[in-house]
Amino acid sequence: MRVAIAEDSLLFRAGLASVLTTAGHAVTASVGSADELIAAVTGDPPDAAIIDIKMPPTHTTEGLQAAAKIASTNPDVGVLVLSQYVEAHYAMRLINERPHGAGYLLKQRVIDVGEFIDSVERVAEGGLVVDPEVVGHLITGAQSVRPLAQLSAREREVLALIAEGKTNSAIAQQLVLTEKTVDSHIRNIFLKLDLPATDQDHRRVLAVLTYLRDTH
Amino acid sequence: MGAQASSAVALPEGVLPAALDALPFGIVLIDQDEQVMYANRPARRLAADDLRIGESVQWASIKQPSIDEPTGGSAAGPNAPRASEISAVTFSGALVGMVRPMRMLVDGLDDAVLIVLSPLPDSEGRGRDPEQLLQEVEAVSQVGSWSWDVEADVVTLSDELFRLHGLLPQSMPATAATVARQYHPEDRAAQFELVDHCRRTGQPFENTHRIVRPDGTVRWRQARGQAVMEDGRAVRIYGTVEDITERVDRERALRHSLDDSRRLAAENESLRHEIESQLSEVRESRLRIVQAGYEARRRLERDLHDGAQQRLTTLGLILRSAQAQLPDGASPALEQALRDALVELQAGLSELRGMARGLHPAILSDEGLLPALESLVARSPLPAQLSADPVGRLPGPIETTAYLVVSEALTNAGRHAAASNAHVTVEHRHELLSVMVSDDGAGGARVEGGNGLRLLSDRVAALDGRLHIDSPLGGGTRLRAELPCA
Repeated sequence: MRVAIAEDSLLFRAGLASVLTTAGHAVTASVGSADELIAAVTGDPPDAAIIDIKMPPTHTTEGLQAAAKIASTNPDVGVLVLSQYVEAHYAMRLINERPHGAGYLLKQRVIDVGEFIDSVERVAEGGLVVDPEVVGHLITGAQSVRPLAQLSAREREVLALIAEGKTNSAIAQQLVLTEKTVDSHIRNIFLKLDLPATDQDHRRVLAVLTYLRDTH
Repeated sequence: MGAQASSAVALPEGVLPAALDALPFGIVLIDQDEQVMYANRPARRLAADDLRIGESVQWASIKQPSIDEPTGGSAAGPNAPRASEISAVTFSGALVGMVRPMRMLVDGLDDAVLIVLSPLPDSEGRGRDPEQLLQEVEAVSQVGSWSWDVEADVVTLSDELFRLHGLLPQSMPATAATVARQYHPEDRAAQFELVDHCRRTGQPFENTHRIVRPDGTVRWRQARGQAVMEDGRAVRIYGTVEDITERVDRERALRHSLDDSRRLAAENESLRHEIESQLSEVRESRLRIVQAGYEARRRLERDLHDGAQQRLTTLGLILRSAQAQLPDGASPALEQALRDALVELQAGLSELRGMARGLHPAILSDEGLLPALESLVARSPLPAQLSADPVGRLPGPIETTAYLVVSEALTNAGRHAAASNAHVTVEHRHELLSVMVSDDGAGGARVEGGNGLRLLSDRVAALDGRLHIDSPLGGGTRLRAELPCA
């Protein structure tokens, strides 16, 4: 796996690179700002990019902005955002902007190298990764409304697979259904969850978020 | 002059002349020819000793029907007034006074009529000497009159005018010069000019001037005068003088008190300005203190994240790397120590993160109030719901204060009030941000309660906002912060 890294702390960046190379992955770029990362990704697209949410110049959410940018320039490159904050809001923002190949992880997860590498790989493959603690808050934060109760068992199955980042054809294959049936299920899910009829990807993400909030 | 009337009539038996003389009213007996038979001493005094025995009484009737009817017999004389008339009695042509004649037949004196000369209280003075009446009027009104015979240079002053000058009535002859001497030095020239102008032109004058009494007191007077002209020359100038000292004093006192009031009002105004400016300084400094506090919290949070947390995470990576480099057959104790260290490190990082978030959630400054509140409600141990108007970005101190209100209220609800649910409402209307937190807990929360509400109230007040707490015992708590955000 080829990975680009953007992190403004030199020491941490070195540690991150070391973790990746030790695990047998190639680091294509190791830079200190979002702009440099975007340039590096455009110049030599990796499988995944890892970026700190707080980067120069404002040290607020440059990482999320870079993720959105990369989604438009290099949609195939997965982006894993490392953050100091357990904030569902940031995770949702990221997933809203990048329905595929996106991840939001607490920075300290890096220390659990195995899980971390696994997360990078899932993002690189187009999957969604949300930090377990953030998911926990999403769940406790949705106590009053449980929209998933309106879904049928089959629709919930489909939604769970969407949440895993599966495509419609993969879902059809796994559930032994025609793709047309899967489409119909998905339309029902959108309808029941009262999701606005904007673009397909956006609704998919919102459905996934509802699922994340409402399961467990 | 003295009349000896008592002997001309035989008084009824038992009636002593001395007793009649001691009566408080006059008694006159007249015969059918209306000639005086008897007059007691008060009657004689009323008539100024002009009452003589044998002299005819002359009636001057003034109709005044409202006066009480006198009781008694029929009228005796042909000219005697009817009972409904009030008469003035004159003797020797001199007006004695307004009397109530009590005409009655006197026992034992068949031909006689008794007249009681008792001055009527409500017409007092009317029958008197006009000169005396004038004097009384002058005394009451503190108006004196004068007349100046220009040719002879004799000034006649009324009694009251003498008194106004602080002199005994008619105590000295007066000329224009002696009168002028009493004018206040500052007013003298103007007064001369005024009177002289009147003398030359015959034009009446009116002015206000001061005189100095012999005892040195200064009196204010209003004078009016006019001239009697003959052949284009003033032969006599006369007028009135009114003592207006008391009025002037009152006006002056009023003016002083007005001036005092004005000065007081001006002082109040400047004091008010001063207090207002001080108050606004205090307000500004309070706001600065609160802002500085927020800024310090935010900086500390950032330092924790960028400094300690970053270093500790890097330390974790180093430890992990050390762990990976342990040779096969390394000491199990060393392996365990490294594992323990990493576990401790993760726990420490979580604690640090919680601490930093408690100081100031980065999401609040990065994303604004609502995302921060959503996050706060989501992680609240007490189940809570949030309903909010769309609220864009607001000034930092307002966002932070509103956030802290909700945070503190949720903490109190769960920790102190044992609530089982809370609801957070955010309204943003008419440039007023209202943040409400209601819970179903034990209630009884007070600003004075020392549970952080005092600090909260101060924070809200620093932004010119208000914190309302409705928290009856057993009735839950409704806490509402109103923050102006114009």
